[in-house]
Amino acid sequence: MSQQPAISFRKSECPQFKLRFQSGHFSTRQALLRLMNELKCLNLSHATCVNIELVLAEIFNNIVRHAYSTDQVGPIFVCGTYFGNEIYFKVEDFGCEMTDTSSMAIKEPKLPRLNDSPAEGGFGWFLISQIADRYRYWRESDKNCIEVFMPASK
Amino acid sequence: MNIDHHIENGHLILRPKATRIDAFEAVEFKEQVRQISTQHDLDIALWLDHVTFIDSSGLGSIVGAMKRIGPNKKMHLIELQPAVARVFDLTQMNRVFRIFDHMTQFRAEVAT
Repeated sequence: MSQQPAISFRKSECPQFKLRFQSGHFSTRQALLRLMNELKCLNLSHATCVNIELVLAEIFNNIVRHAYSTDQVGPIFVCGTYFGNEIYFKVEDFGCEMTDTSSMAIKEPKLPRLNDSPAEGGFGWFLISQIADRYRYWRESDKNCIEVFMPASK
Repeated sequence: MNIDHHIENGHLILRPKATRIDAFEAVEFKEQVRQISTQHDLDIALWLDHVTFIDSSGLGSIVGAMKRIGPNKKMHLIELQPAVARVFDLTQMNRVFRIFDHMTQFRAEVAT
């Protein structure tokens, strides 16, 4: 059984929250459930909550699969700030550097056409790009950093 | 993952009891759908009324399951919850599947 995600929440004019958990698909699910539960106090719209959960899920899954890979476990740190009409997240990990960032920039992937055989994968960054206002990745010493800004409404 | 299934007017109805089809359970979901569907040479209706969240892995497992049942059989989707429908809309997979808002609509239009 993985460790429970650790979360802190600071209520202020711009509420801030922090979350730390170990990589892994099950702990990612636990962390998302915990975070979304904490965010209830912001009274965000259901559509905003759907977007947040989906974008963070895709970022976390990417870290679990590619930064740490299946046989490596490491910490994932998340911090966020709610600004009223926008919500910001920064996600950090100590896994492998993302050397090919071309998939992050894809705005128009090969979407399915009628009577075509649809792709089963490759939608992660596309979903993020469709939902987020802006996002970026950078390497900082031995850390991967991703920040994302998403529209938020009550 | 627990998937209820029954046959209704020539369709195999699959109803996952889980609330999430995510990276943690996507592989198991696809395998279970494959196992159940190979026992029945029928079109499939995936009744997703309990599923409140899918990510791209969950989406991929549904698309993969649809591709594995073969080109001669159909897979319909029923009662997508808002967060699930959002993923299908954004990826335009709503053009690949026939989607029914409610089971009653499916029964009226297809399973009769």
